[in-house]
Amino acid sequence: MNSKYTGTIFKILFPFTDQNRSKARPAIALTEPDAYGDIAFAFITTKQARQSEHVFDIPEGLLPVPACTHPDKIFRLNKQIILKKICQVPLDFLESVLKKITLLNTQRYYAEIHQPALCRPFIPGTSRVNYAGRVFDETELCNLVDSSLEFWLTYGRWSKEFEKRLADFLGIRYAFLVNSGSSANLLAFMALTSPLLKERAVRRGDEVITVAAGFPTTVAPIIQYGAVPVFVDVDLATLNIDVSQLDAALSPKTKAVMLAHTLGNPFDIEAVKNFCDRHDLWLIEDNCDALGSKYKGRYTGTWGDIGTSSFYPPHHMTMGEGGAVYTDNKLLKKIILSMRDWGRDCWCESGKDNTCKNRFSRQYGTLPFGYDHKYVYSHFGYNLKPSDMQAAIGCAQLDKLERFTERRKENFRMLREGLAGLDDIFHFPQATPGSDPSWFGFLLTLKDGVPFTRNEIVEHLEVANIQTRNLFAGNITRHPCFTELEQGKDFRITGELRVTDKIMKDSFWVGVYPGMGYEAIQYMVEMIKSFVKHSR
Amino acid sequence: MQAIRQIIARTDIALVRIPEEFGEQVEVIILPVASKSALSAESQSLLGLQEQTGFVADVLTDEREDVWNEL
Repeated sequence: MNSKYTGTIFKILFPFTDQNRSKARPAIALTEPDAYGDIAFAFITTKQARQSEHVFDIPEGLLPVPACTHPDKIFRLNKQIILKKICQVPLDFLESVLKKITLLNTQRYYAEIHQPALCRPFIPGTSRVNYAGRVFDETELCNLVDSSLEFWLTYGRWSKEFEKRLADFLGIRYAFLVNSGSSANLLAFMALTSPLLKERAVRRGDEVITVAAGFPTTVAPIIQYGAVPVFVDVDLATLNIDVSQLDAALSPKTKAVMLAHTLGNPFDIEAVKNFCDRHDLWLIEDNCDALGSKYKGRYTGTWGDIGTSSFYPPHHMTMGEGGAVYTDNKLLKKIILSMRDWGRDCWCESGKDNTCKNRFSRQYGTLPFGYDHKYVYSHFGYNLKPSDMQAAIGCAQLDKLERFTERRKENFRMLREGLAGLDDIFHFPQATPGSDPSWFGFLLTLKDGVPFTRNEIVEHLEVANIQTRNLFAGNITRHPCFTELEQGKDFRITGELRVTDKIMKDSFWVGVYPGMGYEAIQYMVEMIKSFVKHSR
Repeated sequence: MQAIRQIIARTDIALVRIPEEFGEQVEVIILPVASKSALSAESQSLLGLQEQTGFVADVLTDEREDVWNEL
């Protein structure tokens, strides 16, 4: 420390205006004197005075009696009130005190700035009913500031903590953080192309069974690599793959099945898993919209060989940008880690060297013997790591995940009950048998022959300040990105995508996210019902 | 109670302006300026205000904290 005052314990005149100088109290200077000679001080007291949860014990040996300081009670006093210097506190102690003060101010910022906005009463027609949004409190903000103060920036202690806790939550052996859900899907798929998987590796031209009704980045990695997606139609009730068509989609080139749990509703995992096991296929569960959903009592994302999550703000929990890949398979773990971290063979953590103890004593490929293992590449990888600040937010969100899940279920239930009389107008989503979905949204599909279009009801709701969404791409094969692709060569379609097209044309969804209260749900029900009533 | 508190030069005592509402007679206490306390009266007042915080009144003033007097 170069500071003359900061971090020093001084003996201070007490009371501050006492001319007799009969008493004194110790205090730590937290700043240098400003232009007026004023210094911020945190007073030190005996431990008998401990009255607040924010006190810090003064390190033993610095003062003659056990003492603590009170960083929540800052006094700005002129340096002339100092009677004498006592000692210097260790840097790590000063760091803790300064961090505590910053975090206390952060809590205050949350309480004054964010909380009022989050707690604003719902005014029908005026308040925006978002389809999704971040739900947070001062813990997320404090974790974010805390990790910022550390300034580690890249993958670090918060990331490691998050990975461990996510794996524990899911009941799976390995979880890896990445910078987005789309990156998670990319990493999950590319892991299957590793030469370490030998004859089971997915090669260019191999086929991967999937669906077209979903988000594009479930499919994009397959096409980007040069494998062939084989699209199967979906079931209108569950919004997921029609498992009766799996056998028809199979070919000698099939190597994997990659599917999302649509809007949180698990696909028929048992049927898909049995199919994969029967034909020695990999199964990737795109769990980006379903974290917290269960199938037969076990979390989705943990049934297949690899699961993925997204922590983009609309999702079941958030860290801004962010995602995760998880597996129980030790070999896949090794591949995922390598591909996430530049394709390297080395597994040293950031800032560490020679974890393997053989950094300069091995033969790799045709490199010279002893070539630095830190720069040996066993895959053509990426850098998909998140920042530690993202992980810090995620740690706070994980604590709330079960509560979020319950709110999503409850909001879905209220919506379903509220719209109960409209079964002649809409197809409603149904939970897959054996599942307990943590719904991402509530999808409504217009029945054939209703006297209005999807866009007409959607416009009505948007004007009423209710945000809506299509089921992402609807039918991805009809998008401009497919124009240059050749059906039968670059992709295949099994049978017809009749239900997929129906969803593309007639479906939309509204939110059930945990930030929505009863009033917002009831308002949505009223607006949907009133539109239908006037259209009949 | 109204009061005037100023630090002035020893020879400037006649320059102190006393408001009429103080009445015909006033009580005068003259103290030497403490050698290390060259703070303005305003600064002294602000220090006085900080002495009135709950933490000072309840914690720092507690006589058990007098263990620090001989530090």
